Amino acid sequence: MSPLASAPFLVILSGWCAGIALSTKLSPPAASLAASLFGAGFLLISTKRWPPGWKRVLPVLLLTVSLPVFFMNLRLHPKTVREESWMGQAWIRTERAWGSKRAVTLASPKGRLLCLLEPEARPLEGERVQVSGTVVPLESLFSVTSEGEFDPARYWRAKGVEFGFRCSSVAAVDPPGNRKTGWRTRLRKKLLLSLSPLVRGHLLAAWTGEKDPEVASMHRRWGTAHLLAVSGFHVGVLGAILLWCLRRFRFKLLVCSSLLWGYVFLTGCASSACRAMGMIQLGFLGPVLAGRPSSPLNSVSVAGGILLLINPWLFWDIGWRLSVISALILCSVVRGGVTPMRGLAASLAIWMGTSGEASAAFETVPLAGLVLNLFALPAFSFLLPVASVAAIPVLAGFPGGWVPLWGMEGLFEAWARFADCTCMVVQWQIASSPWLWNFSAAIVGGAVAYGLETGVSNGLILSLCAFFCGGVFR
Amino acid sequence: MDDRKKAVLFISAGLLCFAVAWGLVRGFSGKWPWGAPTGVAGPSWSVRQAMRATEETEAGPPVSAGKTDPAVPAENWIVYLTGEVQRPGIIEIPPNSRLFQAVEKAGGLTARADRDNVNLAAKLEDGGHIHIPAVGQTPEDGKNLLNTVSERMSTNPSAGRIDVNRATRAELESLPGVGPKLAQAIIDDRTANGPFARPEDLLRVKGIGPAKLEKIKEMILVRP
Repeated sequence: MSPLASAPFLVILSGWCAGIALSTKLSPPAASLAASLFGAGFLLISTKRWPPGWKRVLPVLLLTVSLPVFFMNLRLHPKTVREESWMGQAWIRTERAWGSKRAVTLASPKGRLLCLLEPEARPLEGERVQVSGTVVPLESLFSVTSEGEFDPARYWRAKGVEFGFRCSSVAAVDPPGNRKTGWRTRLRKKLLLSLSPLVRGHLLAAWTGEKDPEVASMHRRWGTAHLLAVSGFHVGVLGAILLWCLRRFRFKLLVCSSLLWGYVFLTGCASSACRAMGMIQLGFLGPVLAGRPSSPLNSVSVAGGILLLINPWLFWDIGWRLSVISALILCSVVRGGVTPMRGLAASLAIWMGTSGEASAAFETVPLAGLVLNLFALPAFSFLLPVASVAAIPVLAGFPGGWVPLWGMEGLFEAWARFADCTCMVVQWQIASSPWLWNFSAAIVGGAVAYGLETGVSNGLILSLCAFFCGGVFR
Repeated sequence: MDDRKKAVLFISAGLLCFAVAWGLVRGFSGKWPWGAPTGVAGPSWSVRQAMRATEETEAGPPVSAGKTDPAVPAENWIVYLTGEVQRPGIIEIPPNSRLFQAVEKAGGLTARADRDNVNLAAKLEDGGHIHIPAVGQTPEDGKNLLNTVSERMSTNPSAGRIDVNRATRAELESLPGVGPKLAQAIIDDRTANGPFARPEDLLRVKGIGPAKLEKIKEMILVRP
């Protein structure tokens, strides 16, 4: 088997990732050459049997790696900005907690700006505000980070921010309107005011993509923080429910796609949700357009690659990385159908494959997560949809609506007790280190080799190459 | 060539690709054919941070958003800009701005402005009056040439110094050897005993000795 036949975009994605990762080290031409070499290396090692006509396809494939890498590298060079005072109107695209401050992204005539405000400023998503201050380079808002540490400037660039803004005054001009952000603000307010604590924290994450600090800290302790980030899990569960509900409807794929895209927009278009939605969309379209089911590995690569083409900074977005890594491992391990053993193996491999990335972001990862994740996905694929339904009577103001809500609160509490007990038994934490990173890269390489059916020897070599080259992607 | 030999050849070629890529990264890392193409290129982080710290010390404390710390001025400065700018008049600018920022707010310089005799990098003061001269104009030519920036910058030796009778706590902290406690002690002293008449009066503040005074003497200003 060869990725040329089963997942050609996986070769392209691997080259693009290498090329973008090298943008901080090499010039664009050198990075695109290195990306082609990485792509070619991956292809040569992971191919067990070459399909007919491969000699004609190979140069095209390598060109498809190197040319976009060159242009993406050019785009990765941030626009230079001279410090400039500015006063005018902007609207708040997003706002979230950032240490002791509120991080607010502003859509303004000066571009998309990031501004760190004191919490009492109480900015609201969707508000039009009058601001004055100084436009500054984004990096100057944060202290210096060393290589391998979390880089806040990259994080915000992945969110589309161009410049920083040192705000000296901010005043609301218009309340949140009927934009998407206005709807999100209203929904958030309703959830915050109506629901019980644990249901509120989980539904806030599942419906708006925002994190309740207390619930987020609990999930970080348990190693299940990914459940609060809208990702393939949420989109997949909702998609499965919608498909089941619409199973007798003629245009079920069209309606399901529209509703799922609506959900992704409502939750703030997180990169992980967009990747999952792109993959689901390809899954729906494959049989219609190509007349055959699309390869899951290829679909993950296409969806992840399209997001990189739109915004290359997403390569450093932890949501994008964890989402793509998890999806690649899952698709590889459960190829040919889901069985209990494959499900178990996929859960373990995903935990090991993402622990390097997660520990680099959170400094440590709890070993309890390895156990808890075996139960968390089935448990939350039940808890979240049922809690969403149970919350509707209260949100709609029906009398007696609190009865199912408190029932759900009890179930979330029971999960919290179980998770806390597990953490007491398995209380070790694994600290971030280059070795852990390289180990995770080797797991990803090995899992992908298994998914591509490369054979044991080729798989081992690919895994070793991933181990030694993993540092490039850090 | 049999299949086994072919497989070994392809795997060897793959490993060679990785090795060449690795060599490329090792050999060319940090060597750019032009300019500084990324946000992290140019001077190293440590050097850039040192440069930024120096700039911040020179420019005074950064302006923080919100209005929680009473020691940090959150209100904008007002300056009066006249002469060869597109829209002369009262301009509102963020604290610690420089002249080019005020000129930008006034719509930029006119074609007649004497660019060579205006220091656009000059630091401004709240409530100041800046006149941008025209080409060939001398300070005596215009009635309103109260305070041309070029003149002020060349003759005013106190530019950039910190007035200890008016400075905020954050501004005082930018002096070498002055931390939050000592800055607060200076403010408490001038509130309790009145303004300092001369730099030596700072010796009455607990924590400032002759050595420290000597160190900061050239950086401070004592206005009644």
